[in-house]
Amino acid sequence: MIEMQSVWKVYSMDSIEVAALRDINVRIEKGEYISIMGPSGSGKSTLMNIIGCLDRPTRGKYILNGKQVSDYSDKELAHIRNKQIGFVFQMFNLLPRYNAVKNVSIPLLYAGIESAEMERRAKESLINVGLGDRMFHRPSQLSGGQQQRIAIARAIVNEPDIILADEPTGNLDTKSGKEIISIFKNLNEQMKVTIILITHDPFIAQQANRVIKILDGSIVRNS
Amino acid sequence: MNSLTYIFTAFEALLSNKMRSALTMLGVIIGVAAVILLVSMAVGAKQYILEKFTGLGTNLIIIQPGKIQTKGGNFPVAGIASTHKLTLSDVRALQRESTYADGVFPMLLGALIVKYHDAHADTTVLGTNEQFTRIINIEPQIGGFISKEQSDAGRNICVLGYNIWKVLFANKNPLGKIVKLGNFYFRVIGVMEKKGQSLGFDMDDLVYIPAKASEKLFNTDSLFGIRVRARSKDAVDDAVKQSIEILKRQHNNNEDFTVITQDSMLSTVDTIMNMMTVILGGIAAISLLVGGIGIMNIMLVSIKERTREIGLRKAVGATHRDILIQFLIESATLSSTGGVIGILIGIAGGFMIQSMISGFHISITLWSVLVAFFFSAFVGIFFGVYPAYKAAQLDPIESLRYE
Repeated sequence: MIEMQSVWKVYSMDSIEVAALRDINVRIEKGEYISIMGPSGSGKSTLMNIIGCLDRPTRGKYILNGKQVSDYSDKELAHIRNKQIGFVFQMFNLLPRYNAVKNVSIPLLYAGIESAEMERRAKESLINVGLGDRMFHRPSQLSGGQQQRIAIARAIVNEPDIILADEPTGNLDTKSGKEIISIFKNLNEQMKVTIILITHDPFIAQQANRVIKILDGSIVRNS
Repeated sequence: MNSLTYIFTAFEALLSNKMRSALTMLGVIIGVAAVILLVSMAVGAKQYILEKFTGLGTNLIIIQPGKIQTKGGNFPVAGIASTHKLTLSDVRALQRESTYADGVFPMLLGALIVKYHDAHADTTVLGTNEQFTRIINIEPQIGGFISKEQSDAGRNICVLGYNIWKVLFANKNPLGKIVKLGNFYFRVIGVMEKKGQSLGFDMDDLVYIPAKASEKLFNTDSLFGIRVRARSKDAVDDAVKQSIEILKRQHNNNEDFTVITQDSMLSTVDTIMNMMTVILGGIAAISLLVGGIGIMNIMLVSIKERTREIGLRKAVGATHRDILIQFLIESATLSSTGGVIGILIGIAGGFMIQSMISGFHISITLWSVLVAFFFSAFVGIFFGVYPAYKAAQLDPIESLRYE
């Protein structure tokens, strides 16, 4: 469960303070499927970074699964990202020199899992996203949709509670985009993973149970 | 992440850019090979020189005319004559009075042509006494050496060095034959065995005569030097002191001569050669340092290129420490792999040089190998710290956006 209480994020540039988030109050239950929409510069990426424990709020409280992580150290946040959060990016962010299995294994490296178990879980994860026949291909040998599926496999390999997807279909054609969205839907329905998806695309946003619209750092719609 | 995984990850990263890794390693390879090669050559040269000296026996005390080292208190006082030379009477005094010495021989040297019928050879004539063979460990091969009686009487007899015998007599028996040295005639009583270099001369090119006869031959009583052998290694210091006392008495209390022991010469040679080893090693180490800077440069480039990778690793749970260690191991792997290759090349190069220069033995010491290896690993870690620290400091959000 995610809970934000009066969260502010303020950047100071040359003594001018810019608020990227203003007094955000939001609550996301476990197993929800949420879309966050907003124009560029609205603060949705900042919100996502804070939810994903990549950043800390300037003011306010962020409570993740009952723990106030807003005062956690970098090391503790890294641990939370590793265990509880899976990231999917617009640019896939796969390592070109690794094959699919090795790419998917990266989070397990930092979870201290031994290598045979690592490989087993990575393969299982790839089968879950429908890439059972592409395990030893490198990203450059695969299509954009397949690459994004590797990224999803990587996000779910450590069985996180939450998946954060930042414009996951932004670099894909419509058909591949639809496939990716259906994978998210499956994960949400079958594995009860909380999905938080940032998108520009109103059609994709509507698939979610709830849409949060953000403008100039404030939530303008939450339904 | 366990240490084995770190090392695998480092190898994968380095292998994905083989050419770059190889070129970066080359700097370290050259540095380490240079350290090994130069140090082993210097140590080999040192052993070569020491062998030549210790071949004379470590109990030997060398007395030369003139004062080389001034310890004060012996400045010539007006009115007291200073002879500044060593003579046969000094040798007799040493033989008579020294209790710590078990042998004394004079050396009176001169260059001459030795003739027998039509054959002749350039030679160095050494005027000495009967104790020479015992102290220097050389034996006559044919006939005998100068006897005590012949030495005391200063008879015109001579013993030929091995090469001189070959040139003058073409392997025939020379005993009893008369050779001409300068304007004097000498009867051959023996031929020395082949010995090679010793005492700074080629012993095979010498002609040995009684010292007293050489005084007449060269018309001088001034010796090139005196050699004294102490009874044992422990007696060397006492023998030196005693010899100085005896000779000072002979020289009106003037210490106008120099007494050197093998040990002091050995330690001088040792000091000089050790310094040379350190200097050569130091010069080679500079090239290793340059190799280290090359590693740092490449690591910085590599981190720039892999900013998104670092961002991703951090996003999925890598801590500061994980990233720091990953890049440190990459640079340490580069430098220590280079170090191992460099050691092998250095050793191979050493043996190549050894096979090209006859009589020279390189000496690959374990310490030079270990020092080179650990120094190269250290260089990799030292020059890897800054890039790795920079990588660990990267902000994951910025890094993931980096184009």
